[in-house]
Amino acid sequence: MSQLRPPTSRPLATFRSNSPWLPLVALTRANLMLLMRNRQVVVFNILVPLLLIVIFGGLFQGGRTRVDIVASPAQVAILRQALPRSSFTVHDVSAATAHQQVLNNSADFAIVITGSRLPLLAKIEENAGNITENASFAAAAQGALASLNQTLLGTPPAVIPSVAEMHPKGGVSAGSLANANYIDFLTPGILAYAVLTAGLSAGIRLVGDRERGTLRRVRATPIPVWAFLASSVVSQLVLVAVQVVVLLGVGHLMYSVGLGPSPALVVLLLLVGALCFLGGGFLIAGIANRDQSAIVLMNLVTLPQLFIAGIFYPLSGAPTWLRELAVIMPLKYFADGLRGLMAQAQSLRAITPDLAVLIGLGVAVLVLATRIFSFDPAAAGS
Amino acid sequence: MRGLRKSYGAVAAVRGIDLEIQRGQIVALLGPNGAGKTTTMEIIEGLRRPDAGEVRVLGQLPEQARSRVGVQLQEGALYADLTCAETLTLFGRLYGWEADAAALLALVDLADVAARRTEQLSGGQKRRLQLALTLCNEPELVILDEPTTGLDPLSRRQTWAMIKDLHHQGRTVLLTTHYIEEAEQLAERVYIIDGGQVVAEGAPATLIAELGAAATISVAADSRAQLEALPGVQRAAYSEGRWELQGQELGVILAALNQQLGEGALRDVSVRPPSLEDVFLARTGHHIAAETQS
Repeated sequence: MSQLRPPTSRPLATFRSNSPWLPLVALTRANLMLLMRNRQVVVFNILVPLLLIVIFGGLFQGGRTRVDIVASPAQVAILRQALPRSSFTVHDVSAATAHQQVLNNSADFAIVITGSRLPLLAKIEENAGNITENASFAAAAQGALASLNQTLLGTPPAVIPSVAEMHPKGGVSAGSLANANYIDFLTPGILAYAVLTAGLSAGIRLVGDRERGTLRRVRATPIPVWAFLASSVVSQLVLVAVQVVVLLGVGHLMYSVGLGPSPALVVLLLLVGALCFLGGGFLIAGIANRDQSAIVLMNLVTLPQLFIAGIFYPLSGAPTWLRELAVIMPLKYFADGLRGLMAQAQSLRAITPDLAVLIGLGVAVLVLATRIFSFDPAAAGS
Repeated sequence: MRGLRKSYGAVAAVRGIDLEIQRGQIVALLGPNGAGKTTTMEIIEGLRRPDAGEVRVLGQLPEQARSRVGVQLQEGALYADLTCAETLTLFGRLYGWEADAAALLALVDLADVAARRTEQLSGGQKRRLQLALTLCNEPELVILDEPTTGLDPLSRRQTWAMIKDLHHQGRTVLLTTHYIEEAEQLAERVYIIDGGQVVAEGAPATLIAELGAAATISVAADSRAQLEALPGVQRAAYSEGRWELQGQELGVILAALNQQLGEGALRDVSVRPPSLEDVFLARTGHHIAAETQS
């Protein structure tokens, strides 16, 4: 700069277009680079959830689950195929034996199929004493029944499942988590938690950018507000896609976790969840004026949910007050929905309430956020 | 540019300011911190809406003129984890332009840190990058908010040279400053702003000539000394232990001072040619610098 060049003939910039797509793509690309280079994003939004899955999945990776099946040979063959051989041992027994073994815990659960004409009746027998695992047993059983259903398709419903809890005489036994399919229970919950923290931390980054004045500088360019928001949304969805691939990829490789029978619904639910919690991030950015307070707010929102919304253990076995508290936790609905799809082979209809809660919440937080959000550091949080 | 004209009230920061800027001029808004300069700039940049008044930038509404304006805000305003070159490319595209990052960085002497992330730059380097950013859309109007605040004297002079260069390229430059020297060195037209109002406007030389003073004598003396009544003194002001006296006949004033205060009491005297500081003092009764520190 000390030897300033005379006014150059070489232009410093060349005009390309007035289209909003150019800034939209450029800002999205920059956002993605920023995400990739942000250590906190990599650690808290990807590595921590990954560790939770690997460690807790491994911790409770006990022996294989023993399943008794009472059905025709053809049905047994189909069910046997649906239950991953690495996690389940399947025994073809009589109804009386199955009943007895479930009660004395020598079988973890039983699937009893009755009837010779469609629809068949399928009873999932569980030991009521095993408070903690029953949700994941039911999940596995329903998953298996779903594939039986698919095979028998033609006159749905081919199988009508019901769950029967059986009470042993000795009262409730302390159920152990040492079960292969705890991972099927855990993974959707951790994935939901990861998407939640990713959405809210987008708000923290926004607060930081505003604090440094970067947002104002961007606002001084002609990029439309919708394009600015769209680039946030697109880069957030890419982040969530990376989370899904990493978490489920590792979950699949290590523990045979899968997407369940309706991957499209899983994607839809993830999309809704990602947008809903990104809205939550915008709301945090509207409320907090410094990134320190945004971080406090985020922890206030995420940590209780991690422990109360039924991520690590099924709420069905939790005390009543905890279950009632969980009702107000958005993460519960997201996790329940994902678990329903991925582990319990549920239909769109079954997860509609979860989906509705998330959509309603998402719209509410977005409306609120657009009302209080400001690009201006001075006006923020007021 | 037909220029912009703006007057608006209500906001305590700015209480009715009119600006008219000719195309191709360097115009400075000079005033202490809190005078309303930044607020005025932000309205021109389209970042803030005035409560009242009318603004035209390059003949358009501020929001519509954004693509033709280059902006340097007072604060950091950089993405910490992008490199210098990436920052220029990004902002160029936000304007719809493809910036020649290498040429821009060479212009502000940052070519060797092109691949460095902006968080690793020194304060002066950040400032220069922000200056380069104002050019990534080949703007007709460049708005610089306190472009040299916090810079060392050498960097300040380099920045001045670059601002003059912008002017030679035919761009209009609007800058704010609380440095007297900066406004005198750069501006063809200066608006002196205090308390949200324009207290003086015109070419620096004209404003100084209008004082009609040959020089300003600054002398340490008691506030009760009543120096304003001395022969030859046209204007006098007291602040913080010093009197500032202006007049045409230096010899007469100095002799009278000598007589009034007594030989021994006449200590710490300085004589300087009149400056915009004196214009400010004459119009407002206080110093720019004193306000700056508060």
